[in-house]
Amino acid sequence: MRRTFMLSIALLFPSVSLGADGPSSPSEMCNPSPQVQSFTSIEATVRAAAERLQTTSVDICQDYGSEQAIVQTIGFGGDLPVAAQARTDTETPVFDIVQTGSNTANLVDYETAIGSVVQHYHGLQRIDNLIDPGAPGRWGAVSQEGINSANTASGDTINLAIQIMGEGATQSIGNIAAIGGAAESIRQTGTNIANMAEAVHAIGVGIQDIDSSSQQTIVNELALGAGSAIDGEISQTGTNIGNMLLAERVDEVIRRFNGAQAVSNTVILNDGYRPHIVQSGNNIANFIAADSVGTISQISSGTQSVVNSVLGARGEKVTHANFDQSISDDMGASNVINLMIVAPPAGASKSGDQDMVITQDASFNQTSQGSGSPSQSGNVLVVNR
Amino acid sequence: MKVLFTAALAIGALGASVSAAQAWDWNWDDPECDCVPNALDVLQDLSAAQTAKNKIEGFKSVSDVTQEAINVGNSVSFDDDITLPDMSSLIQDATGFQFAANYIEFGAGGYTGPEFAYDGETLIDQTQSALNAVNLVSVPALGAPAEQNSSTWQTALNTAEYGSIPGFPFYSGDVTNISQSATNVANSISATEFFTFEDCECVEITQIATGPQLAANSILGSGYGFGAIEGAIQNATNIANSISGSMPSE
Repeated sequence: MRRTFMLSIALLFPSVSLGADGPSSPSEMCNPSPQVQSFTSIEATVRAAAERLQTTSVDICQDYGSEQAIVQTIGFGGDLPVAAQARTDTETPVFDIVQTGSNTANLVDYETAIGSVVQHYHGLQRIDNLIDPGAPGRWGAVSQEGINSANTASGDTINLAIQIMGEGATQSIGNIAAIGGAAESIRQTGTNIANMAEAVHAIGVGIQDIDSSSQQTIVNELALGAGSAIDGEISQTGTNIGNMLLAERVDEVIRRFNGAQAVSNTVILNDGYRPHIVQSGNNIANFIAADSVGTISQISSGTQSVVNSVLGARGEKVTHANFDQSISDDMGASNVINLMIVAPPAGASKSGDQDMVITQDASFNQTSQGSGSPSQSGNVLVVNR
Repeated sequence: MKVLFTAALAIGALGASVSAAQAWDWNWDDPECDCVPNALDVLQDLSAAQTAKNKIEGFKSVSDVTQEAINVGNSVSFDDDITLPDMSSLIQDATGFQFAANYIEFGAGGYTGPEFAYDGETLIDQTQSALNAVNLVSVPALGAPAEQNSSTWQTALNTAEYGSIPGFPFYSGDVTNISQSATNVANSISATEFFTFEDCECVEITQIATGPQLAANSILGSGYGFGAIEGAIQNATNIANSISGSMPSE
């Protein structure tokens, strides 16, 4: 067993070398990133924001540059069980199988005023959940869930938020299950969040950057043994969020999304059984929701993709002609980039007297596969006043 | 000004030499902003190899086990009895590694645990729980500056597996009601209040984490005729660089 332990460690930390160079100094890491400065000149902006900073609030700098890995395994099965061997004894108590994993790097959750928060994430977050019982069974809810979050800040007000996901930073989630038998429901969920700032009232300056070498990926994969029976629903959900700002008022925003977001949902059916399957993939980049917005400059040049698929035993695509789609299948996919929602504050009759200056520049690839109604949006501005 | 200084050098059971030459090397000038009278400065330096392991082996059956493996390094915790403000500066540095592992080997009789019990939504009495934590601060109020640096390697492992007799890997018992929780935490500050002054820019918090975290849970069979799995809960959490605060209750 010890061998397994050490092997695991070696396998899981391929990118980390002992005694790796840390950041040279806190002050170096906490300065506004040259990466951000490279895509637009923000020095003046930052300086102006710094001058506005209240001296009575907290200034925070966080840097994460290593690896967070979660590996959860149930079973070590051989072939996918054929449920003809499954227990049909309905007297057997029904138990759940649940895997939840969460990685968090650079979190600020603070209920009062924050002066400046600088968050730099250039690490790896990885969650692998595997359920492979190897024998047929009779279960209640079978659930796999993974959440990665990097660079999240929330406060009452935030004068300056600088959030950088860069230098090969990765968030990945894999929920893999091979199940034969009976289950009430099967659920696979993955959520990646990078660069999210939220203020109850105002964000002064929000600077968010996702580098071109950054990736957010989610893979949900389920193989269902022949003869299986799922009472309820099979659901697969993947959500990637990069660069999100939420506040009543946002004065100035500079940001770039140049990374890659991908969701892949796959169900493999090994006989003619057609359970109720819900697959959804959501990629969201450069999202802002505020009651009033000052100036926004943002560049989106990354990639987004969602693939939802149901396959047969030989890997062939099972088309919807083989399903009673309106009843048994509901698939949705959405890619959203550069979405801005500006709404009047709740309960206020008049708002947003300030001028808004908005520059959106999108040059990106979006792909979506699957039957159903995929939607893709680029450069969407919604103003309700 | 009181200065509390903790330096620890621990070498654990694995006998590995981890940064044994870690020199206590810091230059500490008076805080630029000495705005908290009679406050406490805390300096902690940990260079440690911490290992906590639990192991159960039995070829027949195993039931109703609770295993806990916990490593904690560099922790500052004050309760509300201390009058505010509590601290004016805080530095925590941690290197080395933490290894928390629980291991159960079961045989043909399988593993049977008690029914899961919950406190609210929290599962209590986990079959196996492994926790590593380094650089923890929990205080009513922080009158910073605070700095946390961790390059600690943290590994939290829970394993329950079928241990077959060589040559007879064909029969494995059922696994019923097993729960595993693996957690790593590095650089965490929790304060009800971050204490600040109108004329003083002294509240700065810096967190830098460069150590990898692995949280792994495994329930493994033989690969041949593995018994049924009836009820399993696995939960793994890694946290690095966390700051949480809430409004002081008034």
